[in-house]
Amino acid sequence: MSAFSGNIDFTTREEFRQLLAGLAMAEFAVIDLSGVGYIDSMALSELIALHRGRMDAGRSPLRVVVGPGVRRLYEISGIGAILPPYASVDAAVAP
Amino acid sequence: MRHVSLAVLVLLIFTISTLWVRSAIETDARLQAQLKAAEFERGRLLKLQLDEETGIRGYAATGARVFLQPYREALPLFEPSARSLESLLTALSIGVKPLERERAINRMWRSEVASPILQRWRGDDRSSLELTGKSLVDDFRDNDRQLVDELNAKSNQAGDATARIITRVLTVGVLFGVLVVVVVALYWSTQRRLVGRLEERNVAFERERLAAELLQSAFVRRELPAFPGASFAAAYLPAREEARVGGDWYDAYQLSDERVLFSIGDVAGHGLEAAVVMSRVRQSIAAVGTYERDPAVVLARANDTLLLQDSRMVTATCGFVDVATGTVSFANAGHPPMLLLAPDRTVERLSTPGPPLGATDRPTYTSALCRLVPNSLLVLYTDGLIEHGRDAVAGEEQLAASVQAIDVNCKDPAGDILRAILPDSRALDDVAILTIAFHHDVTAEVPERCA
Repeated sequence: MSAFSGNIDFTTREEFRQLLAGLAMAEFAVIDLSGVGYIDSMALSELIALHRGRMDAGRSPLRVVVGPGVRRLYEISGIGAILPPYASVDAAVAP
Repeated sequence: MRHVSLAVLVLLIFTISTLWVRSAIETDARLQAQLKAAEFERGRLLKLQLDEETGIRGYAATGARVFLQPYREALPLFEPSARSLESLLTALSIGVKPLERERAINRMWRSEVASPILQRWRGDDRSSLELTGKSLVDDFRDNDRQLVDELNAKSNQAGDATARIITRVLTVGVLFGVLVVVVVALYWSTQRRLVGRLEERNVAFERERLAAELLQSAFVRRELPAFPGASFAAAYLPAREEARVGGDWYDAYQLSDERVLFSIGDVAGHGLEAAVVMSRVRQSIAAVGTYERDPAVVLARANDTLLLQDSRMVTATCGFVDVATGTVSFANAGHPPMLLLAPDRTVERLSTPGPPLGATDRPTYTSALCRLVPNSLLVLYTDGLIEHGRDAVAGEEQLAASVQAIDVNCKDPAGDILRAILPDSRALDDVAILTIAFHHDVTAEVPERCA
């Protein structure tokens, strides 16, 4: 599980990518964005890529916790159709 | 800075070698002067001994005391001369043993030859005394020759040492010079190689930037369709950092009849690759849009095209507008909602659910319909317009307020919106805006709200 805070944009791209890489092969993966205020489209596409990589490797679907900071961006981006947003970490880790 | 320190080093080495050579030459000159003085003193000492002997011999032969003159003059000078020679020899680190022996001989000669002759010059043993004297003086000469040899040896040795020092300094100097030349040459060649590599990289970087800009400008300058009842306007603002040319686009093509295919989209990321992906998706939408009437299907085909080659995510909205009736059909793939400004100044968000293009191979896109009434404005934009403050909710509210204040019939609604949101024309991300203003008086039909 990885929790993030602050803004995720081109200034934090590499760091974000590396942290996500660590979740590629984990049995379960939860990403907590509830502390994040902004996430750009490139970072959202990294989430999708991580999810697709996990599915191809036979791992469980990636679960993403979305807080008020990025809820609207998440909604606009339409990726909820692929990665349904969880309201809290508790909800995300529930079986 | 490195040049200066190198120059200082060279100067320092040069100065040190010069001083070294100079001191060697000075030492040599001092040594030669001392050797000369010692040589002189040695000769004088011998001459004094011979003077003494000459005086005594003359007196012994004649009995006339006048012949003792050289003896008397030499007598007090011998010891000071010997002392002077002694100190010179010591300074030159030459052994004083021959000198000691000369002194001893002189003493012996005085006591055993000179004194007896002076006391009784007509004595019977005069010839034996003369013999003794002669042998003593010969002895003296032997020691003197020894001194001459040693002084000569010292002189040669000193000259050799000086020559050796000068040779060494010159060798070191030449070696150092070669070293400096080699170091400087290496430095220059390395420097030139580095500069060359840097230039290459800059050229490559610049080339990519130019290519990406070219790809983008190809559509930015495109003519938009124009109709009496509907007008299209667009605005585009590249990212503040020129190298971060993005993948935003907008399009509006007039199809055979009075239908217009429009699209707007944004490729995640920046640079040439993003621009290439953008171009591919746009072409796909434009091509499929010429024969396919359902926007959701157009997006699904674009998704297929994207998944064939790229792993990039693209958000897009595309649709058709019938400029005769004001009917709009559209579909959305993860793109920010369109805004519809109604004649009563209400602003409505229009969107359909759907994932971004390239996110999944089984996307579900849906199409929706809406009707443009006269004096309404449809606004499409990319996320740069609402995310410039890194707060999408506030950005959307600000945009809605700006759109609300727009005059539908103005010449450039898109430009007006851009200037209202980003007055200093500086954006972190690319911004594209496409507006469709509808002026047509469709009195025959009853306006509908959006689906």
